[in-house]
Amino acid sequence: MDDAILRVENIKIDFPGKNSTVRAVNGVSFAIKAGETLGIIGESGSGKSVTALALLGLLEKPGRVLEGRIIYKGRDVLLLSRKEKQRLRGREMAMVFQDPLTSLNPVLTVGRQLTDVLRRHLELNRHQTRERALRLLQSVGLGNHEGIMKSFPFQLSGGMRQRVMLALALGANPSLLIADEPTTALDVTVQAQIIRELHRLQQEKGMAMLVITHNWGVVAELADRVGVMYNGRLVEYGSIVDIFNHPAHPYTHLILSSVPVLGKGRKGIINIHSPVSRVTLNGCSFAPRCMLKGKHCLKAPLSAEISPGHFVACHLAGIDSAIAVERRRELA
Amino acid sequence: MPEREENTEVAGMNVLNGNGRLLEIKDLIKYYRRGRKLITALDSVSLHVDRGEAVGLVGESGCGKSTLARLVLGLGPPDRGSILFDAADMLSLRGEALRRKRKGIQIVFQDCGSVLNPRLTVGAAITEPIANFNPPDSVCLDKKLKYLFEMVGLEKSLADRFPHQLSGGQRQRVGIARALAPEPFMLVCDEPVSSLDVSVQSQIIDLFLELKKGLKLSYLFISHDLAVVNQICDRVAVMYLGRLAEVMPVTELVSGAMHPYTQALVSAIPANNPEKRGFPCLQLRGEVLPVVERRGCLFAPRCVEAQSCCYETVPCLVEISPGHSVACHNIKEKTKTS
Repeated sequence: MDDAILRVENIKIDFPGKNSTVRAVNGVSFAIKAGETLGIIGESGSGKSVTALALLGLLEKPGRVLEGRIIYKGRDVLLLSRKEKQRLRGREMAMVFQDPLTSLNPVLTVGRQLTDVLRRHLELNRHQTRERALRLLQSVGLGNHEGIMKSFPFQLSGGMRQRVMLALALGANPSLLIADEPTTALDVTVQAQIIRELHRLQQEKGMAMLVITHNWGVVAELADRVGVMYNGRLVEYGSIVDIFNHPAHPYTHLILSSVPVLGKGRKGIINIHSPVSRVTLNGCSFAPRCMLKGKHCLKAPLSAEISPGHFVACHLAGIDSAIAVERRRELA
Repeated sequence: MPEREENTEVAGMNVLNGNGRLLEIKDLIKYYRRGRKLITALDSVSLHVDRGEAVGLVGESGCGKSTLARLVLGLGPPDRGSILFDAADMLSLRGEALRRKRKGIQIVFQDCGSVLNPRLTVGAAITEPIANFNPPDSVCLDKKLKYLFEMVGLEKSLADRFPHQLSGGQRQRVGIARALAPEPFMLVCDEPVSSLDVSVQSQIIDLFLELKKGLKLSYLFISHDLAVVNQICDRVAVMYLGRLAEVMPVTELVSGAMHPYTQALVSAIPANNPEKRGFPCLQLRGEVLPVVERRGCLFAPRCVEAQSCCYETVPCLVEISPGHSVACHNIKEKTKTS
C-alpha cells in the first residue's frame, strides 16, 4: 500500500442540522496507486460525491470531516492551510464535475477560463499560455480550437462542454483526476467517446483516476478496482473482475442484477424492497432492504478480506458465505 | 395486480376496434421558428402503434423524440401530416370530442418531482384527472384512488404526503398512477426511468411490464437507453435529426440492426463485463452537427460508410423484412447484390 498516492483512512463526514445530524460518510477507507483507476459506485445519497469534495477540501459548511485522514503523497490534506490546499487543487488533484454547464462560467469565453487556470498554476507568459491552451483542447479531442477558444459555454454541445471541463482539469498536469459522474448528462454515443478519451488520457499521462458514478457500465469500462458505497459506507471493495464475477455483498448483487443488458434482460432481481430514508441504525444499514438478513444483521458488520484484495462488509459473506448461498437458493 | 374495473364504455370500445391500430402517425412535419430561421424538428415521420404494443423511440438529444410525443398528445399542432388515434383524426377534432378522445392517451414525464404540484398532496394530484373526466363523487374517488395506488405499488398512507416527502421512485409511481387515472389505452413515456438509480429503475421497468400485461396498455416509450427499451418494447424506432433511420422488432436490435446509426448506438453501450471493455466496434464520427442544409442523408457526415450519393439524395424508409424498415442507401445496395 506504500506506493499509493492517495490514501483515505476511515473518514467520517457529518452534516449537522437544526434537529439532527446526518452522517453522510461513515468510516470509508481506500487507496489509489499512481496510474490506477478506482471506481466508486453507489446510488444517490450514498455519500460518493461528498467523499470526493472532502478529498479536495471543498466540503461546504455545515458539512465537516469528523475524523479520519486523507493522505496525499505523504501529507494529510485535512491539516493543510487554505493556501496550501489551493495549491494542491488543480496542480495535484483536479476534478471534473457532472454538469459542465453549471460548472463553467457562462459569461466568460472558454479560452479565458482555460488561460485563467493555466496562469494561476503555471508560470507561463501570455504566448505560452495560449499555445498550451490550444494544445490542451486538441488533446481532449476537440477540433477547431481557435473557434472554441472564442466561444461561450452555451454555444457548445454537452459533449464538447464536458471535453472543455476535461481540458480545464488537465491544464496543470494533475497526478490525480477525480471525475464525478463524468458522463451522466450525456447521450450514449457521447458517453462512449468521453470514456474512451478518459482512458486514453490516463494512459498517456499516467495519472491516477477516481471515477464516481451510479452507472455500472462506466465503472466496468474504466476502473481497475471498484468500491461499492451504500448509506455512507464502503460495503464492498476489490478488483473490478473479482467484483463482477464474485460479488459478495447483497447490495452489489442487487446492482449487478438490476443492470439491463442488451439482448439478455436482467439477471433476475433478488431484492424487491425500496430504499429507505436514512435512519440511524445500529446494525447493517442495508438490512432493511436485504432479502438475506438474519439476526446477525442487528450488529454492524466489519469489513473482512474474503480473498486477497477483496473486502466485504457483510455478516453473510466470507466465513458465513455458505449460509448466504443457501439463503439465496431458498429464495430463488 | 388488480383487474381493470368494469367500465362499459371502455370495454365496448375495445371490442369495437379489436386488436388493430391504436395510433397512426403519417408524414408528420414540424418546424420551430428561431428568429428568422426555420428549424426542422420532425421531417416526414410515419409510425404506428398497435393495441397492447410498446414502441420504443430512441435517439440522441435533439433528434425530435420529445417533439413527436408532444404532437401525439395534442400539445401543439404539426405543420403537416396526420395523427389518427383510436380511429379518430386528432387534428380535426375540437372541443368536447377532443377532450374525450384525449382521455385515452396520457403521458409520464422524466422528472415527476418537477411535474407534480408541490402544494398538492399526491392523492389530490391523482384524483384531479379522475374528477376532470367523471362527475364528482367523493366515495367513488376514494375507491379509485385506492385502486390506483394498489396498481402502481404504493401504500395508501402516502396519499396525504406532498411530493417533496417522497423518494424519486415513489414520485415516479405517483406520476404513473396519475397518468393511469383517466383509464387511458396508451401511455406516452418520456424518459421515465433515466433519472432513477439502477435498482429503482428496474422496479419501475417491472411495473411498466406488469401494467402492459394487466391493462393491455400501449406505450410510446421514449428513451436514450437501448437496454431499457429492449426490455419493455416490442418494436423500436430509431430517430436521427428529425427523421426515422430504422424501425424494427426489438428482437433484432442486437444482431439485426442494419442502419449504421443504430449499429453505433448499440456499440456505444458500455460493457457490463469488465473483461470485455473498450467499445471494440464503435464506429461513429464526431457528434450531432447542426444542420446547415437538409440535403441527402443527415447522418452522412458522421457515417463511416458514407458515399457520394449519401450527400445528394434523401434515403427512403424501405422494408427489408416484415416489420423491419431502414433508411440507408447502402442497405439497398447490400440487399440488391445478395
